[in-house]
Amino acid sequence: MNDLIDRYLAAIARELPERDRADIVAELRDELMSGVEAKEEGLGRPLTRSELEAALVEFGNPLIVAGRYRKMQHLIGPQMFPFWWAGMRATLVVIAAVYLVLIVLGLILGRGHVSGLDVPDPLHVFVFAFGAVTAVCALVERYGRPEQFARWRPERLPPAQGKRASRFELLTELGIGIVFLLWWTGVIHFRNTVPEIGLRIDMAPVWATWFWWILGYSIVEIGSNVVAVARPDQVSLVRWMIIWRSLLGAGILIGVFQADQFVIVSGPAASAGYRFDLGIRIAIGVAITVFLARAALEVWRLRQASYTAPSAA
Amino acid sequence: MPTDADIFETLRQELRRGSLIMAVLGQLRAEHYGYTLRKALADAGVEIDEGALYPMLRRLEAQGLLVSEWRLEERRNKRFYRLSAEGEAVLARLADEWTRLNASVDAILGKPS
Repeated sequence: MNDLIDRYLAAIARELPERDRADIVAELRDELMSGVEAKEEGLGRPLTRSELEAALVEFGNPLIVAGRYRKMQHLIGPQMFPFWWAGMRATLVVIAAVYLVLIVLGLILGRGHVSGLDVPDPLHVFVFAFGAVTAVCALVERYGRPEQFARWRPERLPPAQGKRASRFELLTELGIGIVFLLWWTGVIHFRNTVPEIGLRIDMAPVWATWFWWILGYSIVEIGSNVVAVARPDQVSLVRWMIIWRSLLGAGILIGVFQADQFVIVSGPAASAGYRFDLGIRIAIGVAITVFLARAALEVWRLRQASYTAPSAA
Repeated sequence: MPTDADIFETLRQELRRGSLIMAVLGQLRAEHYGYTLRKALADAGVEIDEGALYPMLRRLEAQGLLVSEWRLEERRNKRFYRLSAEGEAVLARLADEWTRLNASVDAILGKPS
């Protein structure tokens, strides 16, 4: 019957670090044998095979018994878990926002255009993001100092009152900004042809003229949203960043607005090109108004805050 | 949905977790090997399963609170543990803390300490 104990201990040994294996197994063997001998003494006879099996089951699953000797008992512990959860939520919201924008664009442009996007399967991206966030937190848990994450400064808390964008809004805006940047730099593509009617739409030269300005704007927008998410206490800084980026955006679009043509439409439907240009001209006009209105709104909020701050103090 | 019994059992386990270490350290003021240590603890009313005890003994030894040696006894090699000098000092501090905490909880519960 000792073969059963040997097999049990061998199963435990396989899961133990080599350095301590012999020592731990010797100790467990003594514990098991002492237990068996005590039972046999009480019964006045040797244990049957089924009784020995029951004793081993009671001793525990080999994986669990061996697992208790590991230094690392959990991948992400209670100290790190809230940060893993917050990181995972933020990452998933950004990814969801990116794909939501792509889906909406696909619906607007037509089903055929969705399949033309050079973007990975959302499920793969979610699984990768889950793995990446978990791996980073597990590495901090194992080799870093999780207690460092728990340090915080009360002065960095966001104000309790006052109108400001929610974390969800900021992350969604961040996702949209990332999609735009990826498209603008050519990392992802949208199909610009409709083969069924032989329509092809290309960007007019005006966009190439303003390429670097628009790229700069996009980076500034993403940066200001990252600052707003990471430092919610910096209300004034974030408002100033919105003001400057809105003025920059309006300035760029006013420059673009001067062009005669925004898109080059070719194919049998080329004659409808002026309608596309008209639509885009209206959209640019609306966007300039929105940029200026947003800048004015943030200036007004800054002034309101400066009036109320002394009395609040 | 956890039942009242489940909730009680979880809370009981949490309550026991910290005190088990003190019980083990206290029992090892006299030398024991694993099996007799477990028996001695059980006789004193502190049940601990072997799956929890042996890793705890190794951890306490790695922390310098216990010392151990392998010796032949009753035809088998056994590992004997006892409290180290450092372990005695830590146990004394833990015992003081335990007495203070016990008195505080008793006072909260309205029991004479």
